[in-house]
Amino acid sequence: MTFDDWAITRLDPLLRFATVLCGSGSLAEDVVQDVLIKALGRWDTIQAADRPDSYLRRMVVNEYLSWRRKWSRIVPQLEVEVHVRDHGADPAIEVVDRDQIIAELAKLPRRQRAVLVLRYYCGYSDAEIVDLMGCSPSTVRSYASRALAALRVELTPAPESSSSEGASHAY
Amino acid sequence: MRTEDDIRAALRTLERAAPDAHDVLASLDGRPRPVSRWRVPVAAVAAMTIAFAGVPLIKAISGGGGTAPEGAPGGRWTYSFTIAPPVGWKVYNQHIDKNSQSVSLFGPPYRQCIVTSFGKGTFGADRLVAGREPMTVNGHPGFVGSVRGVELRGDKGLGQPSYLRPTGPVVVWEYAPDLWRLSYCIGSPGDRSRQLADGILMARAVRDVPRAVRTPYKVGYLPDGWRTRTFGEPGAGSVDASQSAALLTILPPGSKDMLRIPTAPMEYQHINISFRDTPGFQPTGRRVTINGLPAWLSRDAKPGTRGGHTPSTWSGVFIKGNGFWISIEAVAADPSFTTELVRIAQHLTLAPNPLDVSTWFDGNSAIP
Repeated sequence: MTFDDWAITRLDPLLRFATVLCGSGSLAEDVVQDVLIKALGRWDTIQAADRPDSYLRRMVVNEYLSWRRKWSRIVPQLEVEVHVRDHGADPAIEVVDRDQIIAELAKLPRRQRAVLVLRYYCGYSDAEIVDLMGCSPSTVRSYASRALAALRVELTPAPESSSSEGASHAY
Repeated sequence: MRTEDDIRAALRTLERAAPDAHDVLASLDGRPRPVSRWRVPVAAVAAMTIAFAGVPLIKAISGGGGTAPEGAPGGRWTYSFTIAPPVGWKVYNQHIDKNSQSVSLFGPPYRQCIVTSFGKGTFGADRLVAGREPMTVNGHPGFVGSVRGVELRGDKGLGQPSYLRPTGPVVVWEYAPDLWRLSYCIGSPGDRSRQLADGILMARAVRDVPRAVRTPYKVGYLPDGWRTRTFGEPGAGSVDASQSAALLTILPPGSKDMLRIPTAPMEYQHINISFRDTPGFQPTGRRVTINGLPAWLSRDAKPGTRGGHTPSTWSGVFIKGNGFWISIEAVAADPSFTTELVRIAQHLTLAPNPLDVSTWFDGNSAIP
């Protein structure tokens, strides 16, 4: 697969992933652009990999985590700030709360946020996250635990039968 | 307490802000490729022409003065059109504003489209830039294009969430001289061809049949200088138990509109009157009786600052009927504004059976 062939079909999903990871479309565009410039230079290696998409996704994560200087100047902003109060099941409040979650996600340390995105957006197991981020299993669990606590997320009890499967998470 | 599904939903929402692949690829033009030439199959070029490149930009839609939507012979609170949802689609929300009328539709799986009809002078061909693709919609001249940086009224009362803005292909058509409609669908950049197909489907489902809004309450009092601005309905015959229906937004003197994210303190102030048939809803606050019905008065203990604007106070009056609630809520600079909300409540007239949509009032006689 040439780079052009890949870009036609696979660039969109990578941009969506990067946007979720970065919390901003504009930052995602910059991150992916930098990644693609690097990827162009080593496309032979990437296309020879088992999963080029995973390879590029890893590059995006690394770029995002290492992009200190630029990141420090970009703080995602909510466009609408409203107070959240308990009004029952009003869908407007659900939307507001979703915006609130997005705002709180933006405040998380980057590694914690990355773990949540890989787990809840990509559906990766902890083992896959360990492999992708290059850190220990306990570190991944710690990042996830802290992030979920910061977001006040109540964990869904894992089914008993899934305890031995790779996709289950040890919180 | 939030759940893991809330996190998943928030992340899925975020992905809709993804940039165009075209923009990223354009930034790489001129860079050496690992293959001899930048080559794209002809079929892919055609698809991408629709998806990203060959579509026009519509500079802006909202804003400006404009007149009330025309083509609505029944009055201000009459839609100029109806839409027969295609199979599998359902009208979720309908909204009428000073300058526009919108219908939101949901279809499987997780597809959403919005059809908007604009008032004279609020949208026109001059908003389009070069590159548009001509087409016809039910015999009317139109175009396929794209919209960026545009602010359209959503179906909520506090400005339009960014993910409801048209970021993909849109269909616009002139259904009468200087009167335009717009159809677009929400989705991720990877779904652009489907967004376009859905947008055309919705555009062609529009019929020039006027329909007055229906409301379960009649408004008999407004604070001095305040005026009604927008009204939102649920889908016909579907007062969803979880949905806040018949949402009337009222704005203070001097306020321009609520189309945009608030940029000035006055624009943030508003009153919302809404109807909901949510049995489990239970407000807090002081218990009173209004027109023989139990009601609760509630307000913030002290003014808050929202979005960096002038401190304002939220207050609400909640009237409990037999199986339904009427909420009158406000954000206003005056901390004693609850008294005005009580007056509004005292001058409301309810439909004979608010739980039966067929007994609701014609909006043109019920909403000032």
